[in-house]
Amino acid sequence: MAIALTIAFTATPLAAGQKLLVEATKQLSPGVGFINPTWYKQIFVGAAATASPANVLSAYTTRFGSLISGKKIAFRLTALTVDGQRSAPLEVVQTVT
Amino acid sequence: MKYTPGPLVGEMSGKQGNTVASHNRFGPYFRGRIIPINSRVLPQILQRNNFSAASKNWKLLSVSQRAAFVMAATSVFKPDRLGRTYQPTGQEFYVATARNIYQYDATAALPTTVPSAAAPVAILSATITATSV
Repeated sequence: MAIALTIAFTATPLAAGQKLLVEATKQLSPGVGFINPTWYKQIFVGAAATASPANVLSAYTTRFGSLISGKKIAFRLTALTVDGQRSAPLEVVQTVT
Repeated sequence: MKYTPGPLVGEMSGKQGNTVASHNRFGPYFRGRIIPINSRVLPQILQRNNFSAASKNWKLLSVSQRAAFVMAATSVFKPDRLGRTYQPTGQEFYVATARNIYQYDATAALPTTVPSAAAPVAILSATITATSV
């Protein structure tokens, strides 16, 4: 295994001109159940028609530091259009292994 | 301090003086107010600058441009802090649109016309791989 933080998503790629916006929280205790919406911080915006998977390791570690095994991270994924529209968000929680 | 919503005091949110009304999984409660941390980190400063620029630009739009955003905002519904839906004002809709454009491209010009396309389809599913070693 290697240090990695990738997001595989569907549908892929996004429609022409759309970008993937990834917001994430800091690394949380595994016992945390409630994710405060204000904890999400923007870490990554993909290229137009973003294709899966998105590698967000460097973006995340720049903002929040190295990954720690056992910690939990919440992600919020949104599609953005060039004229300022955004999709409903998809929230996913993942534990670092 | 917990309380039970009744006929006189229903759901509450926000602050009055030094008392803040909030709610969590165990129900509504009151707590003392603390001054929020103002970290002044770079992303926060950028977001505030973007917000400020969009808000100022709203005043520079023509009457017809503003009217178009006001009209478009009537078809937008958002949830408030208590979960009820509300319609943003034209200015709120404009600032939200400008913020999305800044997130899409930090160097893009501020909008003067209402978004024409429908909102994009949400991400259907995501599988995240997070390994530390």
